[in-house]
Amino acid sequence: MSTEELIAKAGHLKPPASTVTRLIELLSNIESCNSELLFLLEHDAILSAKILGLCNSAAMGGHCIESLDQAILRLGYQSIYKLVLSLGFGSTLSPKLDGYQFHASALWQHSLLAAIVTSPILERQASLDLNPSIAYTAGLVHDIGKVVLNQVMDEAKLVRIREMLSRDHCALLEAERAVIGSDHAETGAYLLRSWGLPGSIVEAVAHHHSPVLSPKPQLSAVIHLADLLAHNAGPAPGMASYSVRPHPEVYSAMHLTSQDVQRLILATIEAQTFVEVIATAS
Amino acid sequence: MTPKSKPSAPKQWVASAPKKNLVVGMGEMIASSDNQASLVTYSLGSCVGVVVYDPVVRIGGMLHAMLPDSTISDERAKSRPFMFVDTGLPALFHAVYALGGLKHRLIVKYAGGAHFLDQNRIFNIGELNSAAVASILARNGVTPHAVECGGSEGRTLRMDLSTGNLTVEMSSQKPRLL
Repeated sequence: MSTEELIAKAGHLKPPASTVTRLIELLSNIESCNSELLFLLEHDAILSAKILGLCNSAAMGGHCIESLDQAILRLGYQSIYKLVLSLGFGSTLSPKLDGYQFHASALWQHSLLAAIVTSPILERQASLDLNPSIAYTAGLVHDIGKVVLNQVMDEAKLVRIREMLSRDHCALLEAERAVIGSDHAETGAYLLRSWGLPGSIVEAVAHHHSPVLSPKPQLSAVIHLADLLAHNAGPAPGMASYSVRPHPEVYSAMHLTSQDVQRLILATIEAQTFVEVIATAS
Repeated sequence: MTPKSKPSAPKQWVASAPKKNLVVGMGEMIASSDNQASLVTYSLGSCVGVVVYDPVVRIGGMLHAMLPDSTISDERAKSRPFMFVDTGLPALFHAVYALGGLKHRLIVKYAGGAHFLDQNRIFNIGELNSAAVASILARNGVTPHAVECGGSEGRTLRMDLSTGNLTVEMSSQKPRLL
């Protein structure tokens, strides 16, 4: 089945609320400021209420925050942006995916974890000059193609994919291509493009299993590493947590030693607490 | 005269309470002498699960360590020593000794250390975890009774504290004893 046909079948998959897509657009503009974020949020009562709830939770430091402008002032534009985005994509990413043997919210938690760890990765990659909010967004949506492919994954396809993973040691991506005709990276990128997300995010999702490393690592390399870390540190859900092929040069291209990777794993493990808080709130 | 009705068998049950599961979370350790319980750890991916059991006093312990070496974070080594093999493994043994287990009687097994499909072994944390367990055991003169590491699938470990039987569960196969 072609990617176009798969996406056509996914007609019921709704893009996140317009607040979220507008917010992602805002990101492309470096000059975007608090007042624009505030304006957007104030027109989405449900999202605003959830944000305030989260900001006041013990996990976020137990602030006493009564309004959105206070929230932006106290926690900063970046934090609020991440919360809005996380909540905005929650409903799309959290259903149970039988085709991937994901219980409800398993993909959601994996996605959140990948999004959060883009930050410690970028802290050590200043020379890449990547926008942390764009990286967070790409981390959050990198596996959205699995929601699309899940719809056509019947029992027979699932059995074939499982066989290819356990007997032939195929990567999930390769098995998807062989059995369905497309893979979750390509399908996800196609879907996000149709929703109007910026090209840099679409590109990173399309290449999150085949990262672009030269002339210098692109956003896809950060998402590739974030995906590996989230698979590694998260509870191994579904059938294919480890059926991923790391790019052989991703460490050297990003100048990472084994110790750096272990520190990133530790950061990923510790990010689990936030994942649970956000997943419960959405 | 009415035929004698056959007396019905008296009701009786033979019932035992279901085994209690003591769940060892990621980066945690439990040692116990409750032989009505099982120690369970779910979803070992690249993490490594180590179990020790003294069959004479029926005392056992289980560790779910996530990283090989605590030197990457002194702070975490203190606050969460079971997260790391080098700090968690000695603590596991000491906890079992404290309950009455003796070193020479201990049955030691470990499993986990799954890895990605990674021929170059760049993301080899599973391998480093199992190597760290092997090296610490060897250094202390302990020979493991069973080891099952590697592969690219998560494992759940369950040890019955009344027998010391260790079951490995993987999504692609039936549960089996290790």
